[in-house]
Amino acid sequence: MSFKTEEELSKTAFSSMFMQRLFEPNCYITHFEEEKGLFGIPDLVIATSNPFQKSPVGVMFLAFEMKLKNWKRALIQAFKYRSFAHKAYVLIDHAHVKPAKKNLHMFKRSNVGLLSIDDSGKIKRHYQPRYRRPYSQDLECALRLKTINGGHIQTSLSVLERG
Amino acid sequence: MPLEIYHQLGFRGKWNFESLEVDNTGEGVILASKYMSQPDVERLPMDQKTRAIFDPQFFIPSIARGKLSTYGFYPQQAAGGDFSTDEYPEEAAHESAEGCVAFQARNNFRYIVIPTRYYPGMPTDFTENQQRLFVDPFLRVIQNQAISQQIALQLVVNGEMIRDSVYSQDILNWVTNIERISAVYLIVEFSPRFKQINEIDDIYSLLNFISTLSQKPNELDVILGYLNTEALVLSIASPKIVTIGSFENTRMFNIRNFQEKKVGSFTASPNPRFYVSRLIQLIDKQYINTIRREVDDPDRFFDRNRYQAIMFDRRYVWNSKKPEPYKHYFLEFSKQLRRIGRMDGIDRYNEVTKMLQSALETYAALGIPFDSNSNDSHLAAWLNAARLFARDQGWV
Repeated sequence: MSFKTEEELSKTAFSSMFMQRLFEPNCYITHFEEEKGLFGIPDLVIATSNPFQKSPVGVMFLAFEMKLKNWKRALIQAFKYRSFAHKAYVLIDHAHVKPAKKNLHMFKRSNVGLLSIDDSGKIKRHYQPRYRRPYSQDLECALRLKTINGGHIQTSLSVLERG
Repeated sequence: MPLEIYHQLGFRGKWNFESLEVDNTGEGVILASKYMSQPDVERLPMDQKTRAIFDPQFFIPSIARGKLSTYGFYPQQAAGGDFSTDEYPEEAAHESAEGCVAFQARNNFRYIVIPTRYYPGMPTDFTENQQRLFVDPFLRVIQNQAISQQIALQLVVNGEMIRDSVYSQDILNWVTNIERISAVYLIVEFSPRFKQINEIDDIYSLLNFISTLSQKPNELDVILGYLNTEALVLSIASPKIVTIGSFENTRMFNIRNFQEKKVGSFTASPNPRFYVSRLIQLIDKQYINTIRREVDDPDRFFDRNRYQAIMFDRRYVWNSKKPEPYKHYFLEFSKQLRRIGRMDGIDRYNEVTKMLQSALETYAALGIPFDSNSNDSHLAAWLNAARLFARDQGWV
């Protein structure tokens, strides 16, 4: 069985074990859905405590692009999220993951994770990206400010710009 | 004859003038009546005017948007007010021609441009209407006023017209049979389109169209308006002048920019873009950091000039309404055009294809999944179109 809409896929993804682990209170900080003002509009960004940084204010951003089947477009989008996220993933309907798996080398080269989800909510990892510093310090900083202080990303950016 | 570079003026035309003066990025400008009022044009220094081409921009003669209403000879003004889009009164056409020719002659522009209106689709009476409403009235006035300047016919066509071999041949037959004209100011609208023209057929058809005008037996000066970086590949068809422009509406002709804006319509500012000569592409500026991290020697990857130095400063706030991205583009792209502009025929073709091939290889080496407006999809199409054209010319 495959998903009929991206909304259905996204709903199932939220209730999956994979996501629930990211939402556990010991690591979860906040999350944003379809956040504008970054590079591309990610379906989901989860801010968690950063296991790679010793600082108590360390935040790690995981960004997700969810698609029913167009893996190429999803990869282009998810790659953009590496501008502000430490890890970026494509999450695709398991029924349509084969073409993406055939091109796994492109995910590896782009360091973008590939996950697939079935309608029972089971998420399978096909490629796990490595933790990398985001490409754009400005965007990451803006997102961090938003995470810590709340407020709008544009506001955070303008604070940065003035500074 | 070396290829000439003209700046297609639009909003913030002063950046173009500054670039011409400071960085020597071209030979002249195409003045846009929508963005520059009649008194402002008249006030330009004579040496700038003699090198300039004036674009009357009669594309939608019934609507005078922007500064168009400051020109008494603009059709809507000449007709004494509004008229229906489909009808352009012939008396107004004559009056308009008189004023427009006198204005261009008085200001001693490089050519007297016979303007045109815009037609969507492929109307069956395209050439007849152009002849009746523009060519005949203008040539009559030119003859009566004993004009000595060269005459350029403005031609606005769309992708459909160019791709249709019969239709485009009809246009070519008509143009090449008009006596007295020595130049064609060609504007092509491809709609819908990506930021780069990435269809082989579009580029190949356009190359043939230009070449028919510019080569023997016609040997007309071809001025290509509203060009993005396709100026590079189109240069192999031997136009006389190619244009460069700042904002997208001077690099991609779209009639919507001349139509009345809907009340309450809002256009969001585009993401700033940055020209990378090694990629022959204006990439979204967000990819700059990505490339910097992915290449071994980022300082050598990007074109270096004073505008780039300003933009790469950590404190620089990117905005598509600031001059640096455009002045950087003018400088670096004009260098590429100058390089190929000194060559002609097969030598120019070889150099252009070498540049395209090299850009494709650079993209492949980067391995970055760029989005469709920053990627290399145009390069392969241009290379293939150029090769087809070269085969027709007997160069390969």
